[in-house]
Amino acid sequence: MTRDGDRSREARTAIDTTTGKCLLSVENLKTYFYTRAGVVKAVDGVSFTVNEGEALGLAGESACGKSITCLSILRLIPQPAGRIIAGRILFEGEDLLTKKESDMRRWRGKKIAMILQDPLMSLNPVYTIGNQVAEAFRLDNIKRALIKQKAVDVLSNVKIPSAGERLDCYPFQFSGGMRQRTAAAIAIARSPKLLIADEPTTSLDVTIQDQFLRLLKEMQQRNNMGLILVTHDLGIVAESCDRVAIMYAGRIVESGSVRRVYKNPAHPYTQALMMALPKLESRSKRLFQIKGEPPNPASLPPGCSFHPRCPEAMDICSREYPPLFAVDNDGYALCWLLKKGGA
Amino acid sequence: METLLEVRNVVKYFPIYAGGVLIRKYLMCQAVDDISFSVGRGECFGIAGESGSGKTTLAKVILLMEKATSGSILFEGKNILEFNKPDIMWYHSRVQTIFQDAASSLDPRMRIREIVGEPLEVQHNSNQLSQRAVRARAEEILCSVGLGSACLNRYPHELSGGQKQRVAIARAIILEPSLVVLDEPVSALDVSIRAQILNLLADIQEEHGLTYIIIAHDLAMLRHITTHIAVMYLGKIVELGNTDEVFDNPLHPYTKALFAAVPRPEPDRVKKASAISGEIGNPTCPPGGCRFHPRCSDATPDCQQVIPTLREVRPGHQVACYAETKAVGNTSSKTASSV
Repeated sequence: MTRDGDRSREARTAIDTTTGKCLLSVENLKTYFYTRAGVVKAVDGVSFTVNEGEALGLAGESACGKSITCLSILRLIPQPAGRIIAGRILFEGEDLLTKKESDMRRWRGKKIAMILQDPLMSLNPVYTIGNQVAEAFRLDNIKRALIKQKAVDVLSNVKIPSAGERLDCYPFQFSGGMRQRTAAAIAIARSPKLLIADEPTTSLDVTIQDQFLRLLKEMQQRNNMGLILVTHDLGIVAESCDRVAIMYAGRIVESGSVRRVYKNPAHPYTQALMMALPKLESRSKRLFQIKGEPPNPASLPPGCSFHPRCPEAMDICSREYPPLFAVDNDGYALCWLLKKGGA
Repeated sequence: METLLEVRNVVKYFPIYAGGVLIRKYLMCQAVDDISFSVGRGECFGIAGESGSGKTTLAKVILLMEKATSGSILFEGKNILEFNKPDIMWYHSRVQTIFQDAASSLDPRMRIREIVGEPLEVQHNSNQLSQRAVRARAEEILCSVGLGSACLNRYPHELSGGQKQRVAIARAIILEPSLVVLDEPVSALDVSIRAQILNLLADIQEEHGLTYIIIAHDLAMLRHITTHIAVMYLGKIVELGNTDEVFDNPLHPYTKALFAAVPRPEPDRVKKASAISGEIGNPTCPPGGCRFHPRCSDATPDCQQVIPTLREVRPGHQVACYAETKAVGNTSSKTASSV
């Protein structure tokens, strides 16, 4: 990775920098897990940036490293098996990886907040909703008398009807959509600069999902928050994000504005994903299918990890991992096919 | 087309204990309420709807895993709700199922060949089918779903999600059933694997002449694979018809809202503001009249009173909406008067 390290970082920042102040910059992040089965390279050299008020979609199949990337940003990687072995995570210019754990504790929730996939897991079943929302404010040393009012405000912000009466409810009394909105309320309670949402709508129905995504967008715009939206649904990315990063086997294989990546995907994996989706408007005779299955992260194939499944694989693909190539001045892709004049 | 399965006025209520010691009081959870439809041989019938709409309960009633409260279900002309034990045994050889989560529907202590061969052993106990014949058949069927002989002696935990779903498919088709009920067959799978399984299901259907009933909430997937579709809401079918017709001209406000809410991979599409608000109601005390009226933007006072029934508004397209059927009724009465 040192080979393309510095050079590509410059290239990438030149490509990725769009309007807006850079909020988060992840550079060459590597998170490995040391298990009995060997070293699992869950995240292997991931770099991206998020600007203020910008929504980045992190898309990919299961086990591609999306969630581990997010947990690495918050330094919540399960210890001791997991370790961040390389890279920098710059948040407002400060490297999170060199911070003390006590400082990180203060930052989590205050500057960077996270919404998890299943609110039934992230809400404590034995505490009331009001208690759990108020916890965020208690950490901020806000006067007791004000806390209740603040909790009501924040719950009404996420459109929980008659929030005042619902403070004494327990999570099981809420529906799935309401639970996820409560989780969102807790996340934005302290107005973080960056919100990480890890598959926030997977457990919700389409109509409720639609409501939640609208709410997320509204909150993001109101607070000028940066947003990292992790999802496997390319439809959600298209509707809620400005930029997208497609992950495969621990790396971002393609990144760029949503419009460019969807209209003109450069990486064969992105192209295949787009073609494999059934359409709502028309019936296709047969779906395009990607052969094989995603690789085991404990034993990745040599060279490009996608080459065994790639319809356009060349000799070089099985030998060397491709460096990044700029695509139409809008993002990049890691694929030898993009090398000018052939490989 | 020959009708394979006909569901007539099927009702399934679950009693829910609501207090009382000597005289226990129950509320009724109206999971499936007066549903009728028919599935022709070789069709692929889709059931769409949000969670809590009764899709899975309906499937369980069809599979005889739950006893229907009332109504009748005719399979090849015979009422399955009046079957005795040997009849049920026969029925289960004709109707098979594939569940959402293959991982939990496969016994972790059985090898793949045992899992796939088990239906044969259960059904052919009297015929004394030899172990070798069962094994050969299991191998053959696993091959046809794209799993090599290397998988035969493995355990489910050694397989990936896509492979497990293939095993579940192999187990379902080994008895050569005529109807397969699939409950969310691909929702647990990744996009790239999902396409493989959907194509495999289509191939198998063609090869074995199967009839499918597919339950799913993924509308794009249903559009791709089904020939007919029913949209359920709180235990009732609100719209029913030919898939292309329903998707091209959705009539019920709920169907329209459902289609509008699906996120699509088109960056420049301007999404309309959602027409429906709120969440699905409680099936224990469903709203009176049309069950959708509290969330419907076009609801009239009539909708709170009258329970709409399915009416055919176009050839092969039925809808249960008071406003829609009234509109059609008006035009038809107009044409009648002008004639």
